[in-house]
Amino acid sequence: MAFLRESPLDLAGLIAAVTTSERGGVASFLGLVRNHHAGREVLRLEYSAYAPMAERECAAVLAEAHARWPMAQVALEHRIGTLKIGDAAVAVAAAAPHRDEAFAACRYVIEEVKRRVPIWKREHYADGTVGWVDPTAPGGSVPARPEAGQAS
Amino acid sequence: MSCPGRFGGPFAFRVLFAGPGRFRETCRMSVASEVVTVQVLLFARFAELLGTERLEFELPRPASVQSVLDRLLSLPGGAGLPRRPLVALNQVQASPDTLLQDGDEVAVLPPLAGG
Repeated sequence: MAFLRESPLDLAGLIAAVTTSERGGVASFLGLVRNHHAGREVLRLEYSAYAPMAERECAAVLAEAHARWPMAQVALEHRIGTLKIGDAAVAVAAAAPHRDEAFAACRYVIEEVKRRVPIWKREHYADGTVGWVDPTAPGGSVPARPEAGQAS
Repeated sequence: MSCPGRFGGPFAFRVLFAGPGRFRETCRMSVASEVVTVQVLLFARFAELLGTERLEFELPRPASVQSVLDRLLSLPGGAGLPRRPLVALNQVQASPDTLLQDGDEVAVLPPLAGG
């Protein structure tokens, strides 16, 4: 299955894919593009990925979730390309017989995706600059620079 | 694939007299003893720093992930790379001392920012 998508994500479709008559608890997570970051106004985001490794890591994360919560079924999609404010960047749906496993599996998958799937995002700010988001940097991104100077 | 030194090494005699199948094998042995050829992938900010997303390095054997990082640091723009970036070898995270084989894919990964 391809976890990376260039078209809008479909959370309802993911929920439908994991839900069965035995699974009465469904938890989901949707990560949306925010209009601000570290005090700056954001206009849009560009997501890029090391696609073959990202697909592989997403599959590994889902396999781990299934090993930890065998009764749960989890589905995952991550968007790449240019996203505008409010677009869904990542969607997770987890279904299990009861809510505890559904919440736990959903949480596990989104946290592992953020921690190890090779995906990057570049923010375009209202002041015309751009910056790479770096969760390990003090300000959360590398110093921005004029958009005109960026490599394509 | 190129085959530098195929007539100068210790296998030259067999190359000349053992036929085409033998030639290919000998050629591979000769190259393997000298250099490792790897594909280097750069992403996001690192690709901007180096001005490219893909490089091919021929490194003296034995070569490690660190050999790739050292070569990158010496290139124009390479000084902006962190000393110990995340690296994936054939799509699996690897430490700097991991040894490289011919044809390996070494991806140098900026801090991950998915989600």
